[in-house]
Amino acid sequence: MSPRTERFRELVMQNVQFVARSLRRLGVREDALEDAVQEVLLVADRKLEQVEVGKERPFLYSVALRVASHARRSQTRRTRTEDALAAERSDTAPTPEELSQRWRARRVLDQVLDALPEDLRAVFCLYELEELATADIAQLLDIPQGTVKSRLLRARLLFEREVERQKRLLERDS
Amino acid sequence: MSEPRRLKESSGDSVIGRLLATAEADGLGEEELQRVLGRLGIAGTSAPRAPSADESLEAGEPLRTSAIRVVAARRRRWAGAGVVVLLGCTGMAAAAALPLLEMGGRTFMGETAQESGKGLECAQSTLRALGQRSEARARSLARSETGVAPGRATGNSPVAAPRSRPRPEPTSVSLAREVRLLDGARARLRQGDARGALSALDDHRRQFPASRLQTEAHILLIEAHALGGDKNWAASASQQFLIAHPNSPYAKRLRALHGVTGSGQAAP
Repeated sequence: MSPRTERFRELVMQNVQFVARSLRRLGVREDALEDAVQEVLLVADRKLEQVEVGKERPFLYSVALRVASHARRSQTRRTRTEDALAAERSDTAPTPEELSQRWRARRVLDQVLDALPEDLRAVFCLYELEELATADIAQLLDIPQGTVKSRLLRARLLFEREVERQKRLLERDS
Repeated sequence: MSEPRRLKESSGDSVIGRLLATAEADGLGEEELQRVLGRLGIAGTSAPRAPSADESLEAGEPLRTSAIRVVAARRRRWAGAGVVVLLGCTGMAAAAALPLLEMGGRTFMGETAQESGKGLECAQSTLRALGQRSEARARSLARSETGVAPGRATGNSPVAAPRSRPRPEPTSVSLAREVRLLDGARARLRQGDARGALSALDDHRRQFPASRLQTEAHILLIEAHALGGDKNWAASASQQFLIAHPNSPYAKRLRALHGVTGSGQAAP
């Protein structure tokens, strides 16, 4: 196995699930996740020589941010069409998936995270969900550690505010 | 600089805790991971040109999403490089097996992987018991139980599978399981749980004695020991690794580890 192939293999093995989790939390839907992961890793393969050794994860995360941003835009277009079709079809019968409480809760989390600007969302997800240290997040995003903390503070405020809003909506609907 | 408390620990709102907990299962599922690794050619090695997973996917199964079509165009580059999902197949066998893998063999592959694992363990202990004189016979036994030539998995000289009954070795399946186990160990390390990480690595070693990810597992073992196990061993093992592989992608990680070992923190 050539050193390049070996390096790419190690990059994939160490990061594939991190990339998947990050994409999902940056707003890529379940049904598009597999393709998005593959897209990120293909970019990594194409640009492997440009990626500094030891900086693979920051590189992958920056690609994941772009891929997720693109995926969110196309999902929004698709969701609008799907919503319109669903409204035409029926306004009562939930799908079996919709009956799953956990699935619904994950959808709510998606909606809450969607309310955060991208830079705050990234920091929030890396700290609260991926449970990285602020120093690691600073390295990953190539920003000062103080900026990570201030973004985290703002993200938490927005997150909590959005949770409250979602709660009110649910209470009103029920 | 002190770290803020995580929201799930500090928030008195149980709704927030539950919401955040729903993200714990994020990531690729077993089947999705297998497919991604297979398409990237990570599961296989260079082999005679066989129909690629892409070609079989496109011929045998409607593409699931429009995103696949976008990615598929890029993936064709990989097909030319000899993407091979299955080891131990002749070209014709691979041609027959790949559509199966993509179209309907996913459950079959999962079951076969488990059976193969058990069968191989059994075959290996049988080999030890019978000794060299009966080795050929034991290999034959293993093949009949698992459909996999044990020489491949154990690193011994490979024994060709019978032409009449070629079966695919579920490489991508077991690799996906390995990735999952090592990912678990890595997550434990990140949480500062050295004991949990060592336990996960022990599971990995027992389940995959001939692991294809031995280097990664070894590095994680060093990190786990540096965090809370045998720190002297970790330092010595790091040194040996760096002498043997000074330009390895892992070298920087180990050097960073040496810098922080004293504080008891693993490298990220």
